[in-house]
Amino acid sequence: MDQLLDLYFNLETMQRFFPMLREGFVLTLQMTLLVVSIGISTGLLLALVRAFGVRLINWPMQFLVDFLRAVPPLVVIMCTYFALPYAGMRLSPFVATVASLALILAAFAEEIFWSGITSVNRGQWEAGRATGLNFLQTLVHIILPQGVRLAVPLLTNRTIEIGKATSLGSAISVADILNQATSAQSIVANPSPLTLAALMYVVLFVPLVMTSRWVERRYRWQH
Amino acid sequence: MSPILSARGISRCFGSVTALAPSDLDVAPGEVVVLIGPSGSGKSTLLRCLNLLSPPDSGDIHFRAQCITERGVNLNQVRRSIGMVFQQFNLYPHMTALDNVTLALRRVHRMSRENARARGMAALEEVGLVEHHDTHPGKLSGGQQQRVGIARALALEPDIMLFDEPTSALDPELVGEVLSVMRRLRDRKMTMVIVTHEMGFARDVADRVVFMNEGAIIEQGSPEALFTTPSQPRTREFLSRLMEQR
Ligand SMILES: Nc1ncnc2c1ncn2[C@@H]1O[C@H](COP(=O)(O)OP(=O)(O)OP(=O)(O)O)[C@@H](O)[C@H]1O
Ligand SMILES: [Mg+2]
Repeated sequence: MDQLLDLYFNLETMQRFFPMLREGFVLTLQMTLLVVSIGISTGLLLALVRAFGVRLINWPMQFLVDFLRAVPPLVVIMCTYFALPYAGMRLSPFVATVASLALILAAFAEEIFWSGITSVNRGQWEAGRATGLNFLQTLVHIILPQGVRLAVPLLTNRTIEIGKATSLGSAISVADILNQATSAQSIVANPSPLTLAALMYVVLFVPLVMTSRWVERRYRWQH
Repeated sequence: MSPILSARGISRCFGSVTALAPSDLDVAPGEVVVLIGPSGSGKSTLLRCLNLLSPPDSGDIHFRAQCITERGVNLNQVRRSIGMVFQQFNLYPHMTALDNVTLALRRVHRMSRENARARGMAALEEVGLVEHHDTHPGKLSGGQQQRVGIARALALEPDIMLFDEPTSALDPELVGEVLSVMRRLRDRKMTMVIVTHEMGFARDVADRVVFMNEGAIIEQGSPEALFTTPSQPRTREFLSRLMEQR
């Protein structure tokens, strides 16, 4: 038992590497916030664009969305980081990770928003248009609020999942929580920094989970 | 009097189904026209052609002396003046009764919040629901919801109102409150086109009853004439089948 405590809860080691992991924490936090905000807003925008039903735009968009949803996030990150330089675009590990994950979240979010939009009763469109609202006004004021409500549970789950995928950035040497923890672990040959990392992920994502609960409650109007 | 709404030869197909054969319909200002006919006879289709919710495949519609089936007509502008009330109410579930009524006032008429509110409350007053202005549709009875639906159309101060079976989705005991609101509208000379299966109501309020069958207008006339001495066999058949159901 003592051995176990010493291995995973070595306070001395934790203390020693706390500043290092704290830097990782800040980086992970920044990445998560960027991925979530860019990903969800882009996804919403894409779903709105899709609603206009212009094939020339929708077909390539659908292809890209399906592609991003099908490929493992790590592969997308690797490609962005290692392949794009050949196309003359060199991104920092941080930017490559954020851009990749934001795109992936946007793809999922677009599908989720879209399924929300399409599951709103046709009568809602008719009521809006019959009172003189145009297509966009009906979409924004009547359809979208209802579609978003339907989308929220799916969206929050996906957001948490993609948010946690920021740890994949450590594979291309982003100095995030996980990366810092594994470095520390190899220095002292003790996994306690990983325990600390786990705690930090909890601190980071429990508020996100709680926020999602709150959002879900808020969007549940009386029926 | 020249008609406020005049449809000439309007038709509508869905794939191979002719929902509406080329038909004419005139509505005079202040007139109440009731459309009756069996299920699938094209009543809803005709009604939805009139406000171009589903535009006719052919024919012309004139509204207030303007041809609204021409290219380039601003349909949103036209639809402001044509109120519509739906069988399923189609209220916005995420908004209060008042917001349901004022949304178009604020977004289409660009009214200020206060002015829209005043107009919206007046419309709710007219259907007897002022005290429920802050209630979401889900908390209202079917009859109340439909009255909000009527208030939503009424608030835009339309020149004509279209009703598509406004009481068909209601429990029998809630039908009366909606019909009495519509009677009051008739009394203040609102022009209305009403699809309904409430024959007693039709007899009371209609200036003219139009019988449709299989996408065509079969005959029309005053309620007395149509209900007591219909000239077409299909009208007689329809009416006698209704009587049996009673
Ligand atoms: N959107 C649509 N797509 C395909 N067919 C339709 C559509 N709307 C109406 N139809 C068809 O057109 C015909 C006329 O329908 P309509 O709804 O106008 O009849 P109705 O007289 O209103 O009937 P009800 O009393 O049942 O409401 C029917 O055969 C119907 O199936
Ligand atoms: Mg119908």
